[in-house]
Amino acid sequence: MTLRIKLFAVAMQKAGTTDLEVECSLPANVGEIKQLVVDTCPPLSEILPHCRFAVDDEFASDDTVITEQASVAIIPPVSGGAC
Amino acid sequence: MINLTRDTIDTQQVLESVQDTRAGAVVLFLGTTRSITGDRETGSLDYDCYESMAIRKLEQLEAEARRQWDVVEINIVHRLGHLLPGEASVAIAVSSPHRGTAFECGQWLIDSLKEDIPIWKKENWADGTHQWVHPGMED
Repeated sequence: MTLRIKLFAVAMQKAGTTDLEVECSLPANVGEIKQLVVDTCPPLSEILPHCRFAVDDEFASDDTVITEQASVAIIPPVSGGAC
Repeated sequence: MINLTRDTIDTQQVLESVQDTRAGAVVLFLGTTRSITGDRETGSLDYDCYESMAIRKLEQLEAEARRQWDVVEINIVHRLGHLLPGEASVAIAVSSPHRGTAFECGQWLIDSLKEDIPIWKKENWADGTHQWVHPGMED
C-alpha cells in the first residue's frame, strides 16, 4: 500500500513536496519505514539522521509500529520561538 | 490555553486572557524576530508548523507546567506564516498568586517550547538567499 508521510521545513525543501508517498506493507515499524524513505527519496538521506519521526502526533522510536490508519511525519530539529 | 495564529499577536489580549482576581502577578514573555543574526541581515521569516502535533505538544507542556507550579492561567500563542523583523513570533503569559512562580513558569515554558514543539523558522536573508533553521544540523 501507499503510506503518505508529512514533510516540513528542510525535509519538505529537500524532497520538493509536503507529502512523501512510500510504497510499503503495513504494519511496519519506524526503523523499516526510514530505510524505505531513503530508497524512495535519496535527497532525504543526509538529513534523516538528524530528524525524529512522529506517529499519531507523538514522537516515535524505531520500534514504534505504524498501522494503516496512522498519521506519520518527519520532524526535523525544531526552531520555534525567536529569542 | 493554546493558540496558533497567522495574524499579528495582540499582546493586550494575551495579557487580559490570563488576568484573574486570584492572581497577584502576571508575566508576559515575547519572542521577537531579530534583524541581525551574527553578521547576517534578515529580510523576513517564515514559520512552518505541524499544527495538530504542535497543539497536542503545547497542551502537554501547559499541563506539565500546571503540575509543577501553582499558576492561575497560562496562554501560549505562536505566530505562523510570514513575519517581518521586530514582530512577535511567540507570546507566553502566566498569572499566579505570587510573582516568583509566574517568572519561573514562564521561563520554563519558553525554554521547553524551543525543544519539542514542531514549529520551524526559515530565514529569508536580505541578500536574497533562504535557510531553514535547524539547531544541530549543518546546512
